[in-house]
Amino acid sequence: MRTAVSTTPGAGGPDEPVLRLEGVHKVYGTGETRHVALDGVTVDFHAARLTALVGHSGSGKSTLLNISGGLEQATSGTITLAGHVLTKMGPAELTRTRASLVSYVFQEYNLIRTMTVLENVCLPLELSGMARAEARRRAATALERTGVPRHTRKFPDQLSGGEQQRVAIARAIADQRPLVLADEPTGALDSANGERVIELLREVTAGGVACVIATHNPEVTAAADHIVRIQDGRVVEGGA
Amino acid sequence: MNRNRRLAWILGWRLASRSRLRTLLVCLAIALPVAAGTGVAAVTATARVSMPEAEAGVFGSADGRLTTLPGERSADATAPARLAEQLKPSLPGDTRLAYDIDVLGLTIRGPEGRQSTVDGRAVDLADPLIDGLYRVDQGAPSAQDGTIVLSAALADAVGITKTGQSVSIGSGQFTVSALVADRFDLKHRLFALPPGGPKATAALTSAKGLGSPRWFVTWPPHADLPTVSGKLKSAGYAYVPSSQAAALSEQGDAMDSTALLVGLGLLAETVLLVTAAFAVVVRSQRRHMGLLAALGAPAKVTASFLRTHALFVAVIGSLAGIAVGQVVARVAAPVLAERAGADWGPVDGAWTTSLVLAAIAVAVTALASVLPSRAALREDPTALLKAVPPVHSTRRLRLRTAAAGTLVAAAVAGLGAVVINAGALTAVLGVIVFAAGITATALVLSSFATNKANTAYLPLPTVLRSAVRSLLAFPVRAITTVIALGVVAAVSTTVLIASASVAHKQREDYLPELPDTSALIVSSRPLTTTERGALRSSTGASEVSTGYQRAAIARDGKQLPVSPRTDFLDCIDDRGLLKYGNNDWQPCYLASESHIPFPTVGIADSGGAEALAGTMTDEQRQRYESGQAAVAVTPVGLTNEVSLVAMGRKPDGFVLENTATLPLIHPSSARETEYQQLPAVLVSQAGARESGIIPVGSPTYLLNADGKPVQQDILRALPVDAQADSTVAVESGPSVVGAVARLQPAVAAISVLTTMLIVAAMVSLWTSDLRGEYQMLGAVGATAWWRRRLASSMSGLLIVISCVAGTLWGIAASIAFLTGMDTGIAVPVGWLAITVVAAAITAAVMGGAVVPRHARAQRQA
Ligand SMILES: Nc1ncnc2c1ncn2[C@@H]1O[C@H](COP(=O)(O)OP(=O)(O)OP(=O)(O)O)[C@@H](O)[C@H]1O
Ligand SMILES: [Mg+2]
Repeated sequence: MRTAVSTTPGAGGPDEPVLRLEGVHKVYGTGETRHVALDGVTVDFHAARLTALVGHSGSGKSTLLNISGGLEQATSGTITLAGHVLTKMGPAELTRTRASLVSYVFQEYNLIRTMTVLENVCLPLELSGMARAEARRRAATALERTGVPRHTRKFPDQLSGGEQQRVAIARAIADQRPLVLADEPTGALDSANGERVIELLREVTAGGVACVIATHNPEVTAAADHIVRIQDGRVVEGGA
Repeated sequence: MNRNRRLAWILGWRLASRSRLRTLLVCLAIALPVAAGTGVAAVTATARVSMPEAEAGVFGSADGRLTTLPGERSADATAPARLAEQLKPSLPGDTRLAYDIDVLGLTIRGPEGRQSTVDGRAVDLADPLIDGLYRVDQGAPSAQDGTIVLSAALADAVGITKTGQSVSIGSGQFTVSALVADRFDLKHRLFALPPGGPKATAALTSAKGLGSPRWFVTWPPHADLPTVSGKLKSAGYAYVPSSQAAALSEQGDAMDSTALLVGLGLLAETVLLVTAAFAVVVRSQRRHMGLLAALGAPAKVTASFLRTHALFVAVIGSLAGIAVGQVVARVAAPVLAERAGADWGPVDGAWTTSLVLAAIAVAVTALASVLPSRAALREDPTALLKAVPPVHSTRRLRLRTAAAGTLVAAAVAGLGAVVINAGALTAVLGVIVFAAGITATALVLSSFATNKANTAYLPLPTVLRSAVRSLLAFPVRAITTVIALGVVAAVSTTVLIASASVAHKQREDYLPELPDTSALIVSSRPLTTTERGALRSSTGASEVSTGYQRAAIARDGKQLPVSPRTDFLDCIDDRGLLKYGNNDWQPCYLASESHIPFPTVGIADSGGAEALAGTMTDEQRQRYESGQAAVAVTPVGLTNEVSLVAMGRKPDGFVLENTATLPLIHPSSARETEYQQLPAVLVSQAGARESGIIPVGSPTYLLNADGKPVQQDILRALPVDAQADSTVAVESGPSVVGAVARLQPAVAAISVLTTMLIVAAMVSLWTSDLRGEYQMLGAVGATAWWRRRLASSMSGLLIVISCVAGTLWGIAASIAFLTGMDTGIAVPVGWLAITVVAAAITAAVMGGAVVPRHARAQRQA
């Protein structure tokens, strides 16, 4: 049985961040191949705020996002997501937590290509326990909002890259999970489509969601409420 | 968890329906072994069903037969009751006996005066003791004196169309009570009449000859058979129990063990094929697994969607396999039965075996999907999202090498154990040997290859070098494929060797038939040169020998057949009994080097001798015609000199009388094999006169044609007056024992075809797994032709490696297996070569064909 995870932000009131990282280290490999990807990161991400995560290639942006959503385990440090301490959780509990609290948007390959567009958007809703009819209704609304309502019965490989990305965002919107983590969502898109995506993510944020975007795109940075810059695994700007 | 199950169903089903080619290939990988297993099981079961029937063809429903000594005749042969009285003291009370005696050369006249002189037997077919000796087509055999049973061919010859009509023998009238056929429908002319009555006795006295008396026997319960058998022996009788229908049961055993071997091989094949197939499927789903994890889907959903998919394809695949196997069995069984010269009756579907096979396939597939998906689920979702499986560390490779070493050691140990041991364990060990062997070989190769991944130094054309590099880039994928294909090669090798060896053993064990292109004509009278010419031109025969007759010597008013002295005669003891088991000639035959049991010497002029034995030089012909030398027709076991002996029986024992010792000519272009119907040695008329040998029996002609001669055509081409009483044989008779030998080419061809199909499926699967890479190669400028050549060389390379390893291990496994079976080993090099070449060509062609035509940069992998 699925144990419901509280979706209300932590006990400390509305100003409390949705996601807090404290002294997080991530070390890959051992010996010669040892690489410190995150080196004592302490940073907060708040609700209704669009944060741009910037830094050179290899600086640790993706690593930070992955650890924040519990896709990878931190080597040390504490990660608190809506009052839950991720660093104390096992893989199954992390998965449950993700199902109720985190939405991901990746640069590419966001969709399950054996499922239709509508099914892809319904997937997280159903995973968090929603009835099918309700899930479909909400998914249809979300697809309408992102501007791909005509394609609901198509399969992902019948869509353009921009359309696929908008479907991925529709999926993130539909479930209204409090944290959206986007890893270079505009990286594979032209500027028009990129702007469209930024606009959508802004809308999502306006709905009260904490949105974190790892990006090299200056337009995203320009649209962000807050900028966190990392360099060699360390937060050099915008940290807590 | 209903929602999760629904999700798993959608994902599992869509995975199957969205990549149809791959699903088809995976289904094929499951269906093929199931189909082959079902087919083999059904055909074996069908052939097995006929075993008791075939046994009944010799023994009826009796426990066995009692025979008097070979060739011995009895003055009382026509009085079965009196003979039975003499037997009584040697038998336990309540023994049931049914008399049986061969009747030679009895003239039967039909209602319209058409007559035929034929061989038959005096036996009461109505006796329940011998139920099943013949297949009754019309009427019912009667026990009454004055009735007769005819074979359809004989009824035809004398103008009988239905039961109730009468034929006359001498002055007696016999009512036809039934029309029968022998089990093998060989259209022999024969009759059976119940012995003992006055009419039958009168008829038998008009026959040219009678065989030695024998009885079908059924013992009372609790009879002490060893004691009884001993008593009978000392009274001059031999008991052959029906269980000692050695030929028949041996065929059954051979078929069973071949089927067992094929079955175990198929099982191993299924496991490896399906494992390899699912390694590909799971690898293709890595990104989806990562994505599902990122979206918060529990691992259970991911695992169960792959399992659902596996069950789905497994059920479809094995159902298709059963269907195909059953259809194949239904089509093949009658054809194979005909080839085997047996009447197998209706096809037994062996449904239980089919279903068990299907269940095994489903279970194996489920397991094959669970193991790699478990391993993948243990990885971080981020690793899965990267889609490329992790490269193994050198430590893991070292572990692999160690494991491979252990497997090699286990394989060698298994081989050793097998060589020492024998029996059922052998089969299991045989399979372990080749499974372990293939795995070990592939692992050793791969760890070796990964350590030497630098291919720049290889003196190969660019395409080939690229192929090697691509193979080494994905060592795990290469290993699984090599293992799976290696096992396919090993199984096919084992099947080929086992069937060839069993066939070889059967060929060794039993009498060869006439060559396919020859017919033997036993004519009622000698044919003139003109008549032989006419026979030749109207049947398209290349040659008709001058007639030969069998040689005998006259002693005490009897004609004793003359044989060449071979070591087979050592098997006869001084009482005239065969030395081995119950007077059974088979063990003697096997023990003898010459393999010529009861052979005959024939008398023919030099023309006949050359047609029968091969071309002679002028000098040889001259020596033969002047009687200074004999000619070997059957070279086996004969040296440069031959003693001709007559076998006779005196009151005090058995005698061999030497008649002549002659140098033996082995003509050039002589045949390698012996033929039961032909005399082993020929002498000329002059030679016969000098040695005091006389010709006996009907003149016999050998007709050599270019194709298979047709019995009816030859009969029709004979002079009209000779037609009725001549017989034409185009094959040696009901040679059930040669079934495996005759089926061997079919088995081999099926094995090659199956191998090709499986290779095609695996290579397509492998190539489709690399679709993305090929499209990328196209995008960076490789021409379609270059990509096809790359794919062809890669799959060709894979196949050559797998086939060489697989064939070697298959040979090792067969040796292990067959050593346990006490069978000589025949390696059918031709068929093995055909398999390897066919597999390599299939792989190269399929590899090239499946490469996507269009170049494309990767999108949505
Ligand atoms: N699984 C891994 N094993 C070892 N090292 C890794 C692994 N994943 C990432 N790294 C290393 O960690 C560092 C940070 O990687 P990360 O993917 O977070 O960079 P990034 O900031 O997202 O870069 P980019 O902008 O190019 O996407 C890199 O130097 C990378 O080589
Ligand atoms: Mg990154």
